[in-house]
Amino acid sequence: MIPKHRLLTLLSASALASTLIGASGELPIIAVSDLSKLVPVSVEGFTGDAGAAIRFDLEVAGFELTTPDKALLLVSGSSAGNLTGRVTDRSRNTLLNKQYTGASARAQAHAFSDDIVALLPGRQGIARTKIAFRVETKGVSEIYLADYDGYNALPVTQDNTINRDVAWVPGQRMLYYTSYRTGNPFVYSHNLQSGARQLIAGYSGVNAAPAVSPDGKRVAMILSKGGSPDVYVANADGSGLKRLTTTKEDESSPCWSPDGRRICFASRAGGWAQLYTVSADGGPMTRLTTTEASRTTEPDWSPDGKTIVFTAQMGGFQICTVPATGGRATILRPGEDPSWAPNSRTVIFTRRVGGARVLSLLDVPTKGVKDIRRISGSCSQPAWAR
Amino acid sequence: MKRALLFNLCLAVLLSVTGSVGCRKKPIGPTPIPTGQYGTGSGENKFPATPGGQFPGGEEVRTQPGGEGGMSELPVDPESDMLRDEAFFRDTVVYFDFDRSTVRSGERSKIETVSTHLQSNPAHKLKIEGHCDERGTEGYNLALGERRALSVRDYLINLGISSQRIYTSSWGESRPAEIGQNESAWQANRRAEFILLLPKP
Repeated sequence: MIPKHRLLTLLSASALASTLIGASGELPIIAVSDLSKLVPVSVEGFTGDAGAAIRFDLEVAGFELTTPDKALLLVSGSSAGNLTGRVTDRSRNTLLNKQYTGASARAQAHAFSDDIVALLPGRQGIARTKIAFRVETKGVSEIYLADYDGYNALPVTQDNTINRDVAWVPGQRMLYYTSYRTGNPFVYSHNLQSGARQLIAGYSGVNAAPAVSPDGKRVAMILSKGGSPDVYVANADGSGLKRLTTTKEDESSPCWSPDGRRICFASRAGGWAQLYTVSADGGPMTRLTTTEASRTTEPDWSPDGKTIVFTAQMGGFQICTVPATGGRATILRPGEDPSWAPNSRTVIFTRRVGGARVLSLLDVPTKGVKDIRRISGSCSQPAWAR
Repeated sequence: MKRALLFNLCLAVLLSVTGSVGCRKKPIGPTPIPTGQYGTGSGENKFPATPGGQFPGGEEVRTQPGGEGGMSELPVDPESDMLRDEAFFRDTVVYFDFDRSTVRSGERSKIETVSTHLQSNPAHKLKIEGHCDERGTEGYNLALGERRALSVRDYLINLGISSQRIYTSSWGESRPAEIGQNESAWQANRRAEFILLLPKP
């Protein structure tokens, strides 16, 4: 019988740990070597919004809520007034003890959650990140912005038309998206501080699916002005346009490698949708093999460069991952249009529920799923700020 | 077991060196949340952009455009000078097979009807709008709808209509002709529609 969490090894003998580390006052370190194992945690003392936010954040981050006797990490504190949070190991050694001030109860809770996640080696909290997405209501769709858990949602556009394909400029408060506000699908940039909008591509045919390079200086798009929907790249303002693919069939959904050198996209050049990559400076298209996943679209390259997440269509849509060099795909769960979080671990994706669509968060190693807060209308095409 | 312990000890030493984890013991006290990450909601851009999507909590997001920027050498949309007549070819809709953009032989006569009209009305132009059923992803469907519109356009060009008179666009799956999750609705939605463009009087 293998113990349930045999790979979660806790160096709880603090004397031993500090001897080895050679500095008194160091706290024990938790080593979690198998990312696919849920980390048992107990949470006590928090109420209301703060308590709900902490529990949600930890579950999304690969923790499993349990009772203190079964927990590896014991989280306690108070959210009456400013949030006070404490984390101990099973031997009651304090790992974290902090008070949080300012902002809202939810913001304090998210900050605490991120501190808890950071106790695990190599893990990065995402509880204070933002998402953008499309909300469709009665044939009209607008771009929205929200916290990663769906709270504090705000419309970015109010055009009473179809706006879609939202993408972030990495590290900036700037979005790119496709808008039909003139009647045709054109690509715009939208500065979130000033509200200023700029037309980036308004050629004949479709102008869609913008993806901004990691350095923010270039934008990849799908344009059909050359006779079929192809991948193009331009400077961030739309100037210096260059065509990267010349197939007769359609290309869709470009995304960038984090080093800015390659662009991954879907193409029907081989008869049905498959993933390809091309150099951002131009060159031949290269197939990205996704063994065991077929009709593959909507790729997104992880910020650490290692993994591409995408949608496969195999009797319904499936969220899959594949190494960025290609190979055997891992089919994770039903869903579509995935987008990586900055931690290269969590993914936000779209789920169809009846006729509507909702957004859910997926912890890729544990395959845990949680819906974000429901927003009226049909939500899709999530883009994680990173 | 010994090996596991050794591994973890090595990890502990490594981590203490890199300082990537671990928390120094300190007395409990206020840890102010950096104001750079959680502003008071004044809406002013006081803070530099932070990678990772962290915003001041109460930051105002402007939804009203502050004005259009220049469109850097982009052509003016030529069809904006024309009137859209959506009714004229309402009953002339070209349908497609699932996940295909090739024109079915049974649909060709519809395109020939449109061609005949354009040949006898040289001042008229045409917009072709492609659509998809909901059984493709949203990113893929926008491109597939455009590919359908372009297939119809290619057929018209082969019939002798100038490419300068034909514009295309795609709505993906956003404008279904029929709501429903069955083959009859899906077939009705996999289509290309013709909009007659008339010169403004």
